[in-house]
Amino acid sequence: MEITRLTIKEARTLLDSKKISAVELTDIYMNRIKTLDGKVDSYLSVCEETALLQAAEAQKKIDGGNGGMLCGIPLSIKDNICIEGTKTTCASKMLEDFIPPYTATAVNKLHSQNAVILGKVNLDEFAMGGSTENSAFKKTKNPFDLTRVPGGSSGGSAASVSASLALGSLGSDTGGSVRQPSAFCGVVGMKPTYGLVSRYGLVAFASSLDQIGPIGKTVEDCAILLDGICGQDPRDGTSLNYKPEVPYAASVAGGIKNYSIGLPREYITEGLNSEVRAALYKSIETLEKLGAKVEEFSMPSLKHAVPAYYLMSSAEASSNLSRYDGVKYGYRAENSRSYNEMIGRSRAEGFGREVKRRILLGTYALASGYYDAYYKKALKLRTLISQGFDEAFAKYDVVLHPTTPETAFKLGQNTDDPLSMYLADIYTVSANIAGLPSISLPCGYDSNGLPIGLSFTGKPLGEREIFRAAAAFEADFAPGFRVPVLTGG
Amino acid sequence: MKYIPTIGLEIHAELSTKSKIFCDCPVSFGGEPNTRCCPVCTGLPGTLPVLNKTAVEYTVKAGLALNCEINEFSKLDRKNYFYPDLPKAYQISQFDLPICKNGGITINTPEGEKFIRIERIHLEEDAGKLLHDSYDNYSLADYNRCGVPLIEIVTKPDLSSSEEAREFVEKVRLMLLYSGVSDCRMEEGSLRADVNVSIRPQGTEELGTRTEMKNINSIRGIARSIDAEIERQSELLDEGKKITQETRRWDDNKGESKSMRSKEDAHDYRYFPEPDVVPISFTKEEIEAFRKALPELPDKRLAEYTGEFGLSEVDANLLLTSVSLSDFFESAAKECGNPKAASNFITVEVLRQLNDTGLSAEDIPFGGEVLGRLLKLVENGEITAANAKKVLAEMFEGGKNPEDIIAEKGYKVINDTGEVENTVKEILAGNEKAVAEYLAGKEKTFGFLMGQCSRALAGRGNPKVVQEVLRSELNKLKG
Amino acid sequence: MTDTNDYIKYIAGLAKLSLDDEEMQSLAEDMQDIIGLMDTIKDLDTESIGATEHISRVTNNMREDRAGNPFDTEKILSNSKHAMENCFSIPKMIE
Repeated sequence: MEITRLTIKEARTLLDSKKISAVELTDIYMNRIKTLDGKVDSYLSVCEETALLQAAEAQKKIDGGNGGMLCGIPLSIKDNICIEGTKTTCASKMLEDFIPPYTATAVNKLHSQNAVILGKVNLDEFAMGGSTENSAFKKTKNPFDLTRVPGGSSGGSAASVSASLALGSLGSDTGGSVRQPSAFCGVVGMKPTYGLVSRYGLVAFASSLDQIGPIGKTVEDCAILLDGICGQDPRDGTSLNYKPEVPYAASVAGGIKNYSIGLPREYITEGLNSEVRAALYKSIETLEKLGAKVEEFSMPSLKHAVPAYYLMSSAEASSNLSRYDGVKYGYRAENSRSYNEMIGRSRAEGFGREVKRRILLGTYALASGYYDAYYKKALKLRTLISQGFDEAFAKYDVVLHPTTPETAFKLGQNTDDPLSMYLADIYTVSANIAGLPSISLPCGYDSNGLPIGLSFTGKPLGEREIFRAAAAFEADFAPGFRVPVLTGG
Repeated sequence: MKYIPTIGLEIHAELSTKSKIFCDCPVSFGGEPNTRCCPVCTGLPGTLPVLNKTAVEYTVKAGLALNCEINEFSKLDRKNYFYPDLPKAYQISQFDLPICKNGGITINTPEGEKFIRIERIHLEEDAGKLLHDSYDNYSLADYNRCGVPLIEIVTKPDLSSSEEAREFVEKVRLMLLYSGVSDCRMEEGSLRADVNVSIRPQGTEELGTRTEMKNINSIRGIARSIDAEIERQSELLDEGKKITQETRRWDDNKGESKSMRSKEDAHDYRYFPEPDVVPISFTKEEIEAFRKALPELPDKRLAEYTGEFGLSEVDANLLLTSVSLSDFFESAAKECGNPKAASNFITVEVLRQLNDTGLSAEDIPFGGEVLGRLLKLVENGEITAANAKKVLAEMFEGGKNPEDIIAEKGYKVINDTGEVENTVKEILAGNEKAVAEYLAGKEKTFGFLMGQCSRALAGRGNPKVVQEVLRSELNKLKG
Repeated sequence: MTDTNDYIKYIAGLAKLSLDDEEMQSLAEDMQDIIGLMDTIKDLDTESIGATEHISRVTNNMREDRAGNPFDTEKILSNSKHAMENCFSIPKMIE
């Protein structure tokens, strides 16, 4: 067994054929975390004791012959997804000591399938950022180059899977926060259709855009994880009354012969790095070789996706983050003489800089006199972008695009440049704006050996189509798939 | 009057659902602090609101009862402001698409009937409570009330006196009670009002600057605060001073209001559509079904009571003050077949019992139809009215049927003329003096003899029969 | 540019962020750039386009009115270091 190339699918076979026990598998990951995570810094907290108990429980199920797909599979969870009794910090000083008395529905589903939760992984504070450098606690490194960022905001999730410190992970994706770090770390990450996975227990960043999404080494692993977490939840009034008839994992195969694939012309901009562009066109050749028809199309509204996204997400964030007032939980500035002083200081001291930027932008976008010019306008662009995709999906099975304009950048390179960080979200935000499923998978490596991501975006509830397209591409790309080399000690 | 007041009301009524608006915490008054809370209503991170269907339906019912149009499409919005009684730092409310709009009700004024327009009724969540009394340096937050569903009824500024406001609130209260959506217990704060008042000089058209008084929780307080505010504003205008647009706090104990320090950001609520709750939609058919299912409202009952039933307006209104009492009356009337008699007995005897026992109409330990059976016995002359009162008192003690009590106490009227005759003869024999007086033409003595007979029959004699027998026996003596 | 700075101060007040002068100044500078990017959509003609308020396009996802068991008060207060008498305590509110 080559641990760095192990997939959930393969681990399932090993567990079911008793070649390895669930506890042994969990031990392997625990040891890797102990020896290697000092380099990657992906974990904020490790749940060794409960993980081993869960593994032992899982083994009983396996021995009894009634273990499901995720039974005994060791996973990491982004630290903005609540687990009862386990610290959930959102990588913020504000929630440094927060221990939720409830568990997110997605994690509850994993629990009920006897998955093993190894621990909670790092993120940009409150999921705001694209490098995981906005964490109040540690800077996670890209396993392919420890001097570079893993992307974000689910940087800990992507890095932990990439470095084989977990077999899979749950992240959250508000504007690309699962897909962009997956691209940077050379793994597969997907954002489901809005409402497919319950948001209950996911600490809200932007409620109308947030979705929990799986990260794995393969497309099939992502499909297995999505099968494990999707479904309507009575605790989330925006969750959809939908469950696929056939599990996603069972429908990834089938190929893309006669698939019609669209590439939005507006995405091929000067900002697109030449090596990423080359990888994109090489991928198109592959897709055509596999029998798909790829053509460019125009969707002018995409040009406005980034400002529309930042206005909507920040407006919602400014409201969602208002509850951190020092009254009920979280950081409270000491020795405040009045409520107003307490709340003002608690928020100023408890939130990091990027979070403050977003709160200010969002408050600005909603403030009286500005609402129509900013927030309302963004909602109208949401209509335009959504309609644009509707038209595209009348013609195409899936839409193809790069995940990011560039590969992973150096730690510290963009910390003082919020604007270029925002602009780099150009390819990912529109799926959130329109509530669409989208998947990123590795399609090549640049001259520095850094992974390049390719994305397929589907129509609402079109998970099956994007999984199939991605799986077909992945099968062809597999011989070139690389894993990072990390040495212990 | 030198000035014409213009008054608008925002009435907040708690809906009487079983659970809160966005979580399944039970709704009830009082209780130890933070014992009716969960992660959702205390705003813990990651939790989500899920809308209570009944709260929405109650809002529709309230709207229909108050003659509103129901929006086929409405949505919830966030109203953002920081206050420690609001754990999420936003209130989920409705901004531009409330569930109900354009309604109103007619009230009676000394000048005749007047239609008061209702601009809108929207659904929202209540906030918690702050306790200030325990410590010098701390205030305490209790979130039991957080998430209790409220409707806010916003009137047009159509009211022009405290009497009109009182009449309006009374009537709205009754409508909400009868449509079964709120118990409107003002003393528990389940009905509260914000009052907007402005005045303008007689003969002018332009409305004056208005002030707002918040959270007044009694009808009397509403009326008093309006009068006080009209007086305050009149004095200012008389002195040539200006009225400032502001929010004032009404102190019902002192009978005066005080300006609240205006917060610099108090009015920038940054409303935006609530992303966590999907919109509400109804078909025309669904709205019609709600309309048909609406219980009979007090207007209609009042017309029936004073018309068909022939009750006085005073009695009718007395019966209508509570849904339970009115329902109780209706089933009693139906059972005994004489609404007038039922009304007389209930407005006097039952209300006396309620008063004596401190119970409210909801707590009467037997149904209206049971009282109806008792009243029917009185109607048929099977028990005397005087004994019926005694039976009622026992029924209030609980557990017993009127029939059983009557049998046990032997209250059944004696209709057997033979037994009455014997008793009458005994009385006449024992009261020679009175008989002589009667025979000498002293008619008054008949009453005395009648009383003696009744007492001897222990109140069970059918008075009519006793009277006839006594008269005929005396006539015999006249010879 | 001081107009913008004043406005950012107003916004920070609205958002209850008590920033010191230095942080206020540097955040105001960031905001200039960011608002510049947002302004690129300001002049788009979207008159005839409706606003999308909910992307999932579903309505009426409601729960039945059934009361469950509330949480233990202890759990509700478990993340507060400032609980008193089963309440969250805050500096005295002067009304």
